[in-house]
Amino acid sequence: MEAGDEEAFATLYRRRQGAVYRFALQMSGSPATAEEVTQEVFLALVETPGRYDSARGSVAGWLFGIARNRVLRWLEKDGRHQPVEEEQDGCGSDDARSGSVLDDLAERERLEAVRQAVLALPTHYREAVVLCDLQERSYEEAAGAIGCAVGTIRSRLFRGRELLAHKLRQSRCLT
Amino acid sequence: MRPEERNEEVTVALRALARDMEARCEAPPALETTLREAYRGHRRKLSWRRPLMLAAIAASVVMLVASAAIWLRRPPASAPVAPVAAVPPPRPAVAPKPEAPAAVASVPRARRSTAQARRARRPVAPRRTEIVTEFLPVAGGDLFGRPGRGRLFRVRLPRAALWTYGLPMNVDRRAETVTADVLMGEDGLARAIRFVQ
Repeated sequence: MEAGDEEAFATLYRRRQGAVYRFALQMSGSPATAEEVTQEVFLALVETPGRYDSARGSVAGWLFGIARNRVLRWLEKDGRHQPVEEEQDGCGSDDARSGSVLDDLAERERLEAVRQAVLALPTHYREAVVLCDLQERSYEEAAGAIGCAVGTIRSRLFRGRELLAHKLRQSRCLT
Repeated sequence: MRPEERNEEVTVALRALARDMEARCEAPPALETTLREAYRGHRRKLSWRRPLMLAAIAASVVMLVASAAIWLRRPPASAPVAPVAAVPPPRPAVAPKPEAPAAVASVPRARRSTAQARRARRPVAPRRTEIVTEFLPVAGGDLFGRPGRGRLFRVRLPRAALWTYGLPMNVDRRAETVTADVLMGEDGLARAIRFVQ
């Protein structure tokens, strides 16, 4: 890619853009921000590809690291993250519903409640949950992207899941 | 409910969300076009910048070589005419100045090195080579009779003084002055003189 192979860049983009976009979306809750962050991450790759050091981790970890910094900057600047709507109805509803449409609707609402609960987590727990549970990255990769110890990731993940369980129970998505 | 079970339930819910988002959420296709454009633009900029940098380096090398050639071709400095000898400029006092080793030793090494660095940074005036005559005994003075310490004073004298000591003088320039070093004995009497050019 450094040698000027545009197709190599396009291949890398296609392989990684989804994960970077979803990470930014799961962290910010805003599709516009996710798009902006994805663009900035890959622009950084275009302009300074030499900054990636394979000895320090995978390309994915490096891209998540850049994405995380951009998202945190956005969160600091705008200071907004979408709160959990406490009055989520339909999620875990006791109504006797039948049929695939209703099931599908219930599942959608349940997923939306989980998404909102993740967005409502404090940032440092949220990034651990997003990277390890939603992006299915290893603890080492997550630690590399965040820039902390693996033990810190473990404890943040544990605490983040606890908070999520509490919020989802409140919204009756968990039993 | 036990923490493990609670954890398991949360993990299942998160996995479901991850699968759902993976299926639905991707960056808009237009972004790839934008980034490809940016990539091409960046490569173009690089391809324009690289020859410019090479040209700048080449120009610097050429200038360096040219300066070295000019410096090497400089004509050598004119040789002194006998009986005149070329010597470095005289120090104002012949007597050695008492040193203060204790004071120097008391200065911390870091401060000393800082001072040395400052001195090293100071612009050094180019050292000029002076052409001087031999010491000539002053009338009434005894150059070799009374050995001992003396002091050297730099003075400016009328050019006619050259005549007094039997040195050639341009009559047309007799109104001008000439530099001379006068050697004074410990008794305050002038012992000898030399002329400086």
